[in-house]
Amino acid sequence: MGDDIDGDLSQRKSSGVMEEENKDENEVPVLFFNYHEFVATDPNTVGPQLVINHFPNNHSGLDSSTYRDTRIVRIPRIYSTIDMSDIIPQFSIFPLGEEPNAIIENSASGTLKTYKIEGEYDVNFFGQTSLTPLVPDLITSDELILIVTRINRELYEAFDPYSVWNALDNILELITGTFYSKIVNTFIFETHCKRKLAQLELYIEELNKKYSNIEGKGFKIISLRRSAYLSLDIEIPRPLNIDPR
Amino acid sequence: MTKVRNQHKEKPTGTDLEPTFVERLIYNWLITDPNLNISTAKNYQVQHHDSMKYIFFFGGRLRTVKGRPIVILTGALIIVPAVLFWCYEAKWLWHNVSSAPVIIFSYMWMLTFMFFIRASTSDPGVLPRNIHIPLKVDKTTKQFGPTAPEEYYNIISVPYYQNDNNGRARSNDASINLKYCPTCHIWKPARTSHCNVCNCCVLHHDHHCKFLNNCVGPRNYQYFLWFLLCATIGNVLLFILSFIQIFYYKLETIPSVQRFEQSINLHPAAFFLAIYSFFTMLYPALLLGFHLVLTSKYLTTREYLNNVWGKRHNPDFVNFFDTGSMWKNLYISWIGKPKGVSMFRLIDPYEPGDLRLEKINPLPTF
Repeated sequence: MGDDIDGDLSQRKSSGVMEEENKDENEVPVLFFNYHEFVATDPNTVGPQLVINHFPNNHSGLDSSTYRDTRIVRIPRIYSTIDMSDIIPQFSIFPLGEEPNAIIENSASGTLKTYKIEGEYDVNFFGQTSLTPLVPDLITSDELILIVTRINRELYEAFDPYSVWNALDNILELITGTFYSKIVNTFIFETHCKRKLAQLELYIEELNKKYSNIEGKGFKIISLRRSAYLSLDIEIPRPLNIDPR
Repeated sequence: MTKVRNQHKEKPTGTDLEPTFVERLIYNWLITDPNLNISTAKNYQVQHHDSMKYIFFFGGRLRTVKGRPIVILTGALIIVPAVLFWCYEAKWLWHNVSSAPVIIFSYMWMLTFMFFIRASTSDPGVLPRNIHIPLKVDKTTKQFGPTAPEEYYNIISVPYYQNDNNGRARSNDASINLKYCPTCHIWKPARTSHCNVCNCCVLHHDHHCKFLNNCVGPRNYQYFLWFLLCATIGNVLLFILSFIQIFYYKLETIPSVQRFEQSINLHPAAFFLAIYSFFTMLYPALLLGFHLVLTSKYLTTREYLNNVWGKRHNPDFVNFFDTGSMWKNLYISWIGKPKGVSMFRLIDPYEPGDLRLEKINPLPTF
């Protein structure tokens, strides 16, 4: 199944798994990685270790053609970029597949690393590094980071507890004994947070119009409302092993 | 608003008759137990997971958790003194003292009652299921497997924001732990936990309140806090007003009343309310004090009980979410935090095959 490049791969720099207290001078700093991905081997052959980083499309029914023909790449939530990341969802702005603790290939720097299929697992094809079929095959890393940064900013403005509009919505609600949200928010206008999130949904729809129709290389961003802001899911065409050999 | 204790309702068909409009209105909209599966038009009417405990009212807009309906007792405890007050005390106060105390107490009671309704019947921040399934799901058995990858059983550490609120750097090992929920099949965001009573993951989970028959999470924590505050203040007000009524004979000369016993005979409701409000103030006041301390440190009840209290006291526990300033912590929990949106829209039309509502077995534990 291709070259034996095990020797060139680095495993994760820090385990990322919570360990017992070993607070001494040699403590390894915690590094971020895409915790949705995992490592597996094809049980049928003695093959290389594969990094599973794209997943079945749970957002469509099991019988649909979408489930059969697409996969999902997940951008995880990150907690080290802003202060209140337990209230404000933020997504990882590291280059996808090249997070600090990702599994990378030690090739010459400067070469553009792309997704390379190395093996099969669970009826799908995967590579040996954390790189995904999305970047840079379907979109460049910089463009994706720009999109995620914009999404993060909109989320920050929506959920920021120090925002005047959020505070005003809450204070009005408290003074009127919840009648503000029953009457005004139902019939006149929505709360600031909901308005901002609706704007975010429109932005994602615009992006989808731009990116989903590209022949053979289209991808689609799943609505954040649908994925409950747990991760930024991107639907890509299923990678097929078109082996030139 | 009636509530059902158990599943006594049968499907309203014995023959092949279509349910009537009234039956549809009652079972599909007014009170809906998704286990009974009468209609499957909207999301709140569908439920395939085991032992989900929600009952919905008014078309999925309000909810409660099946179990002992203690929330009815709590509601009665709130309504009874108000009714007595308006029947017996209000008129007296209006004419003999002034109209202001009546209005202020009525307003405080209205706040308490509305916050109680909101805290006990609104969505705490429930997360949908089956969003992060890592392997293909078999169409017939609706399982993926045989098991999840080993990494999904670990507790993962990711770094947390390095600076505290004053811009100073936290220690280098500021990190938080993330876990995968084996029942809901999602990677839980920080501070999310799975409530065993409601059988779902709740964002920023504080605790499950037996008196409200509902979990307390980010979307109703503010209502819960202000409910406690207004209940305490309302009880204090009621106590004071009843006191005034009982001991009014010492301020003004009333011909028929010279002694305490006579005053009580004249105003029995006030006497009852004075005692009642004293005792019903105790528990909310206790909880209020507890939550004031918790919110000033930006801890949830769950984190407190797991790491700080009593035997479980962990001296190495650091709450990285603490902003560092007591006032900012209080502001965030009491005023600032927005309610957001529901993570799973119950009033949306049901799409058959929606994996968020399909039953996929919990992961086996080792």
